[in-house]
Amino acid sequence: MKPVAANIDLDQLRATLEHTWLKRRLLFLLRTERDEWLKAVATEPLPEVLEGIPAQIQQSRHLLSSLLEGYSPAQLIDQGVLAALPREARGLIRDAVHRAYLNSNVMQPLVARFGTALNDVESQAAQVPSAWATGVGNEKLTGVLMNLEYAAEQLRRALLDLPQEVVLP
Amino acid sequence: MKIFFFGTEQKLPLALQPNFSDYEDNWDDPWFWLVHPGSLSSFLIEKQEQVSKCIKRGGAILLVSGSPLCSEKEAQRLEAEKNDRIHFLRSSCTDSPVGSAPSRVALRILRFLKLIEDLNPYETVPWSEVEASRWPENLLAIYLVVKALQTCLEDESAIRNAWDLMDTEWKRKVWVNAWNEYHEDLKMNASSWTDAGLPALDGDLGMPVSSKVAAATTTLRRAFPN
Repeated sequence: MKPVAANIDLDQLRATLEHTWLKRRLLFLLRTERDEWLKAVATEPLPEVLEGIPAQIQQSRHLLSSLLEGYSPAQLIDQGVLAALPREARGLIRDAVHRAYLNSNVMQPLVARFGTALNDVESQAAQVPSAWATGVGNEKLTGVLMNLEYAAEQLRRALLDLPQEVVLP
Repeated sequence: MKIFFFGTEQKLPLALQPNFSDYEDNWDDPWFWLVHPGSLSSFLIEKQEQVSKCIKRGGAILLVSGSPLCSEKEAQRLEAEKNDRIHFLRSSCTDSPVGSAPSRVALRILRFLKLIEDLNPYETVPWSEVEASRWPENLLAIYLVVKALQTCLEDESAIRNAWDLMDTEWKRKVWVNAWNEYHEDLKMNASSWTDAGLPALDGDLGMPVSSKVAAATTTLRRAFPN
């Protein structure tokens, strides 16, 4: 049985968000460049990594909307051994297995946690431009960046806590 | 070992790319290559000399791909030919069996590359760390059908009928393979199979009767990790 394309995309998107964006860029730069950023004058443009947050949030929302389906064992029905069954029977099994998966309620709390963490990052990130505009040494920007770092770390942890495999009911 | 990426960069998850070192054209350093070949045959033939040098220096090569590379049997043959210094990601093989799962390929490779960074030349490469654990394919199929029977009572007879109408040899093969996965591979207790209403292999090859479906579901579920 081969992995389905949708899940490969899901995996790549998750890895890219967790590793490339959060760990290696946003969190890394929030920790190493914050002091430099606080010295910047208001007329300087926002650092690229901060300016790019909305685009990454959009990608994260795409992932969020795919999570529940992406972990469903329903996708296994049309592969491997059961592919030999008549299409109508596969449809019945697929629907029943998906229903059992939803009833197991394994993914919903994880999806909710990811959604909450994403909302927090979005909310904190939305405050960055106005805080940046107030200029050098302002306490507001310090607080906003610290809160953003905390929210980004929570988002990363929510991504890491997603299951490693399709969830069986 | 330093890690070098060789192949079609845009097809590799972005998450993997920051791990790569800049390639230096001196063959004194052993390199671990992460390869995403456009085509397996052209890679191994066209890069034959470099592959040999890499291996001779104590390096190793992992071939990953979004598209099928070759059959698992062919992969095993090529790996043996290179003394296990090359490895084909099994999910990329044309006939890869049921995987656990589709997910986390990229994260698994990332974790694997961390191990590689600490590896010395000529050391045995822990290839198993890059592969997903595999679910027993036939047991999984049986489990999904039984779970469907348990979950959706209104469709139970239709699902049973579809199963019963399948070719006898097909059903026997599925049950025999499932039994082997259960008892031989997973070392699960033989009596728990019959206690759960799962069929004897020389008898009726139908699904467990309604009164045993719950027990069968519970028993089969133990074969899977999550």
